[in-house]
Amino acid sequence: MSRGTTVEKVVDERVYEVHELTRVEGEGSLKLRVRDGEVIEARLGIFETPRYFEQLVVGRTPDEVIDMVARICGICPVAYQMSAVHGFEDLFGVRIDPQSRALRRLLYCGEWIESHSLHIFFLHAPDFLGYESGITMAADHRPLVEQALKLKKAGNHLIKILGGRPIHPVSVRVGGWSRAPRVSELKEHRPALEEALAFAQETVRVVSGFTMPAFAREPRLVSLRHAGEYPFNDGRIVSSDGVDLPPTAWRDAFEEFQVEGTNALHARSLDGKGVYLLGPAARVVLAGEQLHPLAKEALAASGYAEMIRTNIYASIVARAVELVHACAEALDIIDVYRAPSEPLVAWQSRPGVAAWATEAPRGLLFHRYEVDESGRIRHAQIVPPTSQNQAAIEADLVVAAKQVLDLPHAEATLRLEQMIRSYDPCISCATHFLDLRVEEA
Amino acid sequence: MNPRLPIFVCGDPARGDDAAGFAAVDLVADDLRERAEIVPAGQLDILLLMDLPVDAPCVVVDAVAGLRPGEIWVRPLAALVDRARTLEAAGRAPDLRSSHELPLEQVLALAATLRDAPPVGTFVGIGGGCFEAGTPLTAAVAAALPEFAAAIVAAVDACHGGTHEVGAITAAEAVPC
Repeated sequence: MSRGTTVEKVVDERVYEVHELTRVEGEGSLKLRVRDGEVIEARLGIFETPRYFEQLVVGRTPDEVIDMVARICGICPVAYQMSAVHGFEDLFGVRIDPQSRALRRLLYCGEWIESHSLHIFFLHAPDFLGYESGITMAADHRPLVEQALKLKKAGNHLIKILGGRPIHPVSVRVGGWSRAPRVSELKEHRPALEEALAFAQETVRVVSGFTMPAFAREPRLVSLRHAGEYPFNDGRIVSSDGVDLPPTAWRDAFEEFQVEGTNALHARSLDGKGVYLLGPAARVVLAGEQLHPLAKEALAASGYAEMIRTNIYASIVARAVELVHACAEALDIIDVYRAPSEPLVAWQSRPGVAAWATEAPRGLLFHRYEVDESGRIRHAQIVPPTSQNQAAIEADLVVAAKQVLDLPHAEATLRLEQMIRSYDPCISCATHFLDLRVEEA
Repeated sequence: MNPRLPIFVCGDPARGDDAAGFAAVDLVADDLRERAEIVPAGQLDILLLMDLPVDAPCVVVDAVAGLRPGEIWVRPLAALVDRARTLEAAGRAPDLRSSHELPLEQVLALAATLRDAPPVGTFVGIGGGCFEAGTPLTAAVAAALPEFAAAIVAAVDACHGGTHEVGAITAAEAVPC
């Protein structure tokens, strides 16, 4: 360089920003800043107002908590009920009737059916098919949308039969059920579920035909795994690299922490290995051996069994495979159902810690309650899957950035949104924490 | 003729004037018992509409923003579909109150798309002044409840008689909420 000459380096900085993400549940934003090909900021912003559920349940009884936490989400209320009720029953030493246990799996099947069908067809498929929404997609793909609505309805109706209403069910109780359905009620729903199963199988074929954007990151996967069944309510917390814990012990391996700029807590593992992925892809990889035979068959035929592990966009296939599982298992449960001899077993409260993890549609959902001597909640911690997945989403944004730099800006931004939607984030679930500290001088 | 015509009551009983629909149908529930089925819908769900036969009428009841509080607003469901489509064609979605729900007009428009015809029936609304959580009905809306209830009954009777409200609405006129 000769003296007196100034060379200005031309910086290529690109910002991809979506102030209000659409086709996700709740209110969040995306910001990705890339300078000279390097990501310098990748942020899933969650600005939805905190909802304070962990404080609202303090002073309440376990059965009240079960109904209250269902209100955290209109899509996955069952998950909140299941994690709470299993935690309380574990603490109180309650053994429920085996038929009650089967009914709880059936209730979860209903939730997975309605939640997965909502996401696949109305939130995610428009990305792959080139529509801005499920509504515009309906004009060109009417049979698909009609079938999707039927599928969702089949799931919601199952929840209604078991829980009294299609959203925010009210019959789950510590010790079983306030009311168990009659055999005839479930049998009447069988034809709709048979149709749902057939369409779920078709759904795997449809989404397997979607063009998946290029993407490769081998994430650390975490889910429940059970030796004899696909995980809903029971099993051990496992990871793709050796974590193996009872469902009560999430805090032995993971923790929540606050990150500036988001109203949802993040989560990380205590071993310093960083981010991890929850949800259908994690479950299919870690617990795929326990999928229903029809779901296994659908997964094998999809050709995506391996790609699900590394390409987050392909999680739509994992979700569809789980749709098949939920429909098939629901039919199996109904076929052998007989009303529980004791729908609600007696129980006694005892002080201590009630903790449990179950598998919400979007992944592992952990609850922990400290119960006092009077049987009321002293402290609550609820760790939803979306808050745990936030860090993985941001890590994937970094990877995805490299794939979109050559695309026109609008197309690149849309692709990044699509990637976030692959997680099926439920932002409203993630923003219920309250960490209030009053410091007095 | 459907002997029990569905009335889908939208709104939130805990949010001020958004409770108006529920309050109004309470006033006429006994009168309507034989010829209408009152369905508390909260948010209008596409599945409720899809469960109806294509040509079966229904009445949708909700509070409305953008009108004078207490003003009664009756329009054919088809007009709401037209407005949703007009806005969409202009690149404007119907006003979104929350990301947690599909605006009523979009639900109606989706049903129209899936059915190749707009839902048959009538929307009966009332202008609201306050929709804050935990607040009561405003005085203007409370005073207009009998008129609102009478409009709901009239809509039910018109549907039973095979006549529906006709007419169009402008994009900016009012927004069901």
